[in-house]
Amino acid sequence: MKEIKLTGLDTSIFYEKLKNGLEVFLCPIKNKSSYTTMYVTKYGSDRIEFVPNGKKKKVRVPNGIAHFLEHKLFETEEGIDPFTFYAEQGSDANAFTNYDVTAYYFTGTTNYEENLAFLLKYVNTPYFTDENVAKEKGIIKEEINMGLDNPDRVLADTLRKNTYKNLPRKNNVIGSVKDIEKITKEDLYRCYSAFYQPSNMFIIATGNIDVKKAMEIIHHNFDGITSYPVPKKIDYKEDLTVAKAKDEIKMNVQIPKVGMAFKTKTEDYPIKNEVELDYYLYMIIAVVLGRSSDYYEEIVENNIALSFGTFSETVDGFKTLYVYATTKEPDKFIKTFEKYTKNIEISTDDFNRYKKIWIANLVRSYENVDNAADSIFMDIVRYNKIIDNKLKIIKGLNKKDLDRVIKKLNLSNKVVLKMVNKDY
Amino acid sequence: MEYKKIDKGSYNIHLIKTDNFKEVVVKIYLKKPIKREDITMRNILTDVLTYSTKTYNTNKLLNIREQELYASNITVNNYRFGNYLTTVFSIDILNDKYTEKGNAKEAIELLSEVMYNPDVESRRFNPKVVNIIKKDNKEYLERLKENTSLFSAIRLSEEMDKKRPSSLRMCGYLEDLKDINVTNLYKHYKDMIDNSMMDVYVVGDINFLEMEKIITTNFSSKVLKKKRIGFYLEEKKALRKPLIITEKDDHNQSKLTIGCRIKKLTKFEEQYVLPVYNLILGGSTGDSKLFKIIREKYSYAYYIYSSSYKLDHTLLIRAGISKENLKNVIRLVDDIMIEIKRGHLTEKDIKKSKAILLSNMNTVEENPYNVINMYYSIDTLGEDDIKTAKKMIKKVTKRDIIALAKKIKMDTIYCLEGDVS
Repeated sequence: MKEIKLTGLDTSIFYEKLKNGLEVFLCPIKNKSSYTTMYVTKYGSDRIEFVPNGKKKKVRVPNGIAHFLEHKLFETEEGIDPFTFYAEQGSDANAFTNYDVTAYYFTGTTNYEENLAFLLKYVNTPYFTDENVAKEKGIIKEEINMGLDNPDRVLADTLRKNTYKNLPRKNNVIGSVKDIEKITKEDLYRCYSAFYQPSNMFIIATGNIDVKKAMEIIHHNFDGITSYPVPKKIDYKEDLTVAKAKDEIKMNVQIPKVGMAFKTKTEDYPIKNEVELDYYLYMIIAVVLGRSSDYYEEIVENNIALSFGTFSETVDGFKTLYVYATTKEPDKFIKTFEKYTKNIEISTDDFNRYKKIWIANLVRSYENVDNAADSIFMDIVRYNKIIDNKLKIIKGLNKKDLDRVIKKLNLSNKVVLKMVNKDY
Repeated sequence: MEYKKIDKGSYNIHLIKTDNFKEVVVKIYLKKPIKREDITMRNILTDVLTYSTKTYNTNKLLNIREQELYASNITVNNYRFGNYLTTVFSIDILNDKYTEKGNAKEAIELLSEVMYNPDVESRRFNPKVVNIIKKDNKEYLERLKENTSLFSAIRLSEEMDKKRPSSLRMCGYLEDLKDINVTNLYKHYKDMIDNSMMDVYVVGDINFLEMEKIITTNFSSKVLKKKRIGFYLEEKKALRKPLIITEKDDHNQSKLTIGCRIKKLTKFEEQYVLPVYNLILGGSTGDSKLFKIIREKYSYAYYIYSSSYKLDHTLLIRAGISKENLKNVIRLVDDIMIEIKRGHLTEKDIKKSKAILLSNMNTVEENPYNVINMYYSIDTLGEDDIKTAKKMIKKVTKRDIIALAKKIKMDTIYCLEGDVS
């Protein structure tokens, strides 16, 4: 076990990589009575095609299967329902699936060791039957319908669909009713044995935990368990062109919405350290589009949009920025965005103020048990390791490099999507 | 954790000292009996106050000021607390230990600026700002229906609680917007500041004397404390047979809200038995009876849960379903409630719920906002403190739960029907 000290944060993460490849990150936090633990596989909705271990032919599984599998792992052969088990311990358990990972977690204040052992046990022992697979379809159908009634979600899903031509990121996480109808227990077992291998998984625990005892339980559950090779990621030969540059969808919305996606290639940027590059990109987004920007002021003062914002994602060599708004004047919104992103200049005052904010936020991120777990989780998903020197990186950000990134930022490669009322 | 309440005559200061947090959180509670005509006005007012101030007279300048103070974040929240309209101004500040000396004081001064030094000229708010905020609120209210789950709960309360405070839409009313202007908004502002009962809460690693001084310098009230109306709504009898209302709308999933009435409870029932009952019936875990039967056994819903509102004497059950299953879902919910009344619940069910509540109590002291909420409940409703509560929750018996279950009855059922196949 190795101690990773987080510079300037008065916090350490205890790290161990087991022989079978499972990675463990334990972060005890003083003065807390609660804890949280996540058991994660680097398998999300993006992995719909793969060559199973020992086979030669690629298989294509239905969209939405990673999420379906997440639901089904709550089924156990002995009939002990994980929700019931955790409720009995006074704890809370749940899971989520996104494009990159599936995560199972619990939170609580007592009986930590039993809870940890149970988490590893139920995720490690799948139990799928024709009946329990059929039963789940009704539940997930309701979950899909709920999402279809949420215009913001439909907008975000459609934006991705129009951004990527080949990457599975073009599909949403949950799939359609038609997709999930096709799922069988054999599909589930096939995906499970391909991606729920220790070498493809990691554990994060934060808060009121005993590092030594937790490690013992993990060893007890994994010693002697080997890992099969996990299918390689497929190269989808995605290029910079977007799938559909302009589009309009109709939905039951009272006020139209607009979404934009800007697709850029990671390798086109001059900063090769990805953590630093991300900080520079966040800096540009924060200063140019954030709450204290001229852009923000113009939109708000002129009621151009009711609610608007940004999010960004990294996927297979691409960095994509998404911009969305609920607006009666979609074209005016787009024009305003273009006006402020044409010739980006960032003042030293703004640059230094944001560095100060990020330092404050970094201190806050290990204040709370859940935030600490999130912070570790995001590091692993984004960078495949703990970034232990964030404070130093933030302090070291400089205007010269920022200007180099700005110079290479190309926002011409874009998707524009409008959502209007059905009756328009 | 050390607590001190200081009576300032016209208001109270509550100071809580703990080294659990790297932050200092300040919350200012202002409350007055709720009236329908105040709600939309109050929403506009608090949006205007946090948009800009006299000194920081654009939204951009105010945002920059918050950022300069190491991202001190000011928020305002309006909500109904039983019979009261409550407005809470909050600020979340990083302790000076992690920033620089005097930062917290300056951040509290900024909160005071937001409350007491608005962008007002000759008793009128800045018309430009009021217009921006009114337009924003108008658009928000116009698209309220897009949030089908929230809309279903709003419509249920309106149908079930006509003319009672619990039927009021806290998001405001579209038709009230047009009459709001820079002058009457200022009157409303004066009324809020001059006539609301005020409580100031500060939690963090603070020095009592120093903080008391900072608060008294920055905040004041003119209200003479006198006994006002209670927090609890008057009780209302449940209908003999539940009323079922359905409305159609253009979306996929039907949103069901079931409203139940709760007869008068004792203090013990309210603070301890009701939360246990609610967890067993439909509380937040995946282990409630509603979840187990309606979702897991029959696959009728992805989500179904219940929540209780002790000040309103109500309990609501909410679910997203397909419309063809409406009757079955209502029947099953009814069956589950009857089963509990008949005592069909195990000691395990009760033990689990108590364990979850105990665990929640253990975590209160980890979050500055929860700490303030706890002291606020103790002060306003006379609830037990955490130490007592941990002992009392253990005393809840099966008999208590059955007795309470008999006091709960379905009253009104509202379904916003999805109509897309």
